[in-house]
Amino acid sequence: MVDDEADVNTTIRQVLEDNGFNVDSYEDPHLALKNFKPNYYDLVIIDIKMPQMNGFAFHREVKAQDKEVKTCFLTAGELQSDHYSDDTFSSLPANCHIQIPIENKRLIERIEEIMTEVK
Amino acid sequence: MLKKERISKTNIVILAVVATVAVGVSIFLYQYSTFTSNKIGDIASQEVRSNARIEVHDISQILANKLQTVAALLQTLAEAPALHNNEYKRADIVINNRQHSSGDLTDFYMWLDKNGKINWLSNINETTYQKYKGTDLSYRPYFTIPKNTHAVYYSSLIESNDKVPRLYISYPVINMTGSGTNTRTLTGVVVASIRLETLGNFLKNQLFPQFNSTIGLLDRNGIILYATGAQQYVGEYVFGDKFQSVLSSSSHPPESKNLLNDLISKSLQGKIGSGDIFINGKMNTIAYQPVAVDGKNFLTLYISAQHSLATDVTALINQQEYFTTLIIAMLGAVAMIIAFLVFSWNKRLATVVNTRTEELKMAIDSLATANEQLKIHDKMQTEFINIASHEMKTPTQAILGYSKLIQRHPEKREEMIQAISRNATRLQRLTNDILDVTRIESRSLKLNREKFNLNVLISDVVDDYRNEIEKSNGRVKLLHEQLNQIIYVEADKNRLSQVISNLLSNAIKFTKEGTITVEAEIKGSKALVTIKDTGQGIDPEIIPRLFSKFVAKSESGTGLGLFISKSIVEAHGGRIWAGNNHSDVNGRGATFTFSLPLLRPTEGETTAGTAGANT
Repeated sequence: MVDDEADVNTTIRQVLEDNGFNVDSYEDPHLALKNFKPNYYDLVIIDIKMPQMNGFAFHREVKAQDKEVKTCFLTAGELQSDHYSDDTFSSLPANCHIQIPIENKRLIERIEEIMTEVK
Repeated sequence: MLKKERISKTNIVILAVVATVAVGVSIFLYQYSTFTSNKIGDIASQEVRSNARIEVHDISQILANKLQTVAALLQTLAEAPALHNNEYKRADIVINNRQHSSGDLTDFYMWLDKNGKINWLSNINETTYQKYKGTDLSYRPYFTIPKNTHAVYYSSLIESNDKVPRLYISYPVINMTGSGTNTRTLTGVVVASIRLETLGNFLKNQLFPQFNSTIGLLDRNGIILYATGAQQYVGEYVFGDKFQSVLSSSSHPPESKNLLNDLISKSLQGKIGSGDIFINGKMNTIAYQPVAVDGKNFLTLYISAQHSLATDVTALINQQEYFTTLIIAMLGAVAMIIAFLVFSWNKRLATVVNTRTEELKMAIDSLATANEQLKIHDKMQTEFINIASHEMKTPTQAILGYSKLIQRHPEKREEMIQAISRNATRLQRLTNDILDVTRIESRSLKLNREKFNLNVLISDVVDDYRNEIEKSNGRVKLLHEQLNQIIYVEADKNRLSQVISNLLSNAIKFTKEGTITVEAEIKGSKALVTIKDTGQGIDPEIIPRLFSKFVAKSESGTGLGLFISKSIVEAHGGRIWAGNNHSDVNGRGATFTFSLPLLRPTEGETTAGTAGANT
């Protein structure tokens, strides 16, 4: 997962690891892309609002490296905002994003849903 | 431009219509006026014609009656016994009596004997009698013709022995001694003489004085007996060279001479009539009628009347012409006034329309501006909700996550509690910022002003940050250069430290490595506070909007800090500005400066020199 907010990064990673997931997490999207291993990850969780790189741009880079990898977005903002008018987001399936704040239990449920449903 | 053209086109049409109507009415009036004056002229000419005919008829009748009277007097004289008996004394009375009776026309009466010699004359005395007695006049037609015809005789013009032109009427004196034709023996002839001059005067007196006309008289041979104002032609033959030549010179146009000659020829045949002939360029009616005595045409009378209108009629026509001209002029003037009014009305209308159009345009413009501002406001509102949402939800997520994880990972308890506290502080800061913005926008930001040394306040804030920096990032140095100066201001301490904190935390955020220098100085009546860093600098794109709401280059800010700082500085009567240290090279850092009004020097001097250097 990639999220510039250290505390969000830490908590979500911890919750996932506590539930048996292996997680590589990055606060810097450029570093994340540099270390990205194609055909290795089951799911890439991407924060949309990052100072270094927009989440959608990151998504495109990842898909360019690994067409088949599953992705989902993490959003704290409002969906009506201009930030989400990006074509990439509107072309993705409706439930491919996770709104934070989210309860740890609910987060695991959503991740499992996305893992089974979203291609 | 288009509108103007349309207006001038309409104006031209209106002007054309007005001009057409004015010209039409003028032409009509002129025609009517001409028609009327022609009609009046016709009526007047008709009047002249009929008057001329009436005059010639009347005067010829009067003259005929007069001559008849003279003939009758001669007849009674011829039958007088005194003449039959050659009684000269008595004859004198009888003859004088006749002359007395017709003296207004006749010149004298004369009695000739059977051989044509003068027996007696009227109004003569013994001496003149001796002079004329026995004068032989037997060659004169007035003797020979009655002698032969035994009937009355009217002569044509005769120049008498005394060179006076005269007309004569003569009557035979017949002695009726027995019965049958053989017994009629001529014993003499009585003659009445009429001077042409007397005849002329008589005719002149007969003319109606108001009737502007001339009179002419010919004898039956066409000899001129009388002509008003042309006595030099008396005795001339009317078709003779002298009269014809003067006729040629006074005839305009030339064909009128022939017309006149035709008319004279006709009249000499004893006909009655009239004709219109131009003489000297003016129309005249010439009426003619023979003067018949005892059924014989003795003379021919002519009345010539010019077709000139009576003065008052002329005046009336002139007046009407003047009036018509006046009406036409007035029509023209009225047309001009109407056209002028229409033009000025059009112009005024155009001005009003233009003004209204301008007003409408301005109203539309201001509506568009207002709409644009509403849109911007709307966008800012959405932006605010988005940022606020992000800034609230992110720390909430952290707090929520850690508070659950803390039970499961007691070994990380301290670390997690710190994280919870950090995120709670972040939430608090956001809450404060939002409240500040609300206060600023509702203009209810209140300042608790107090007097203090600005350098001391800066020192305190810098100290807090220095500890924090040194703990987390050893590569950034924070300097506060006090320059041994005490700078007194009257301000809200908390608010000012909020501004300095904000500027400092921005500088720290964008400076990974280098120096951040804070400096305060006095410049004129102002205190200047400068925060200079050696970080990445400000994106030139956002410099113009730097102090507006939600302008943040870092994705981890509310974008409210500089807006709040600016509002606080301005509320203190100061100004805030910023710029990059080097315009061309990125990464040399930025400088933020704000000013504050100083307290007056007298108020500050008392505590001068107490501050110490602290770096």
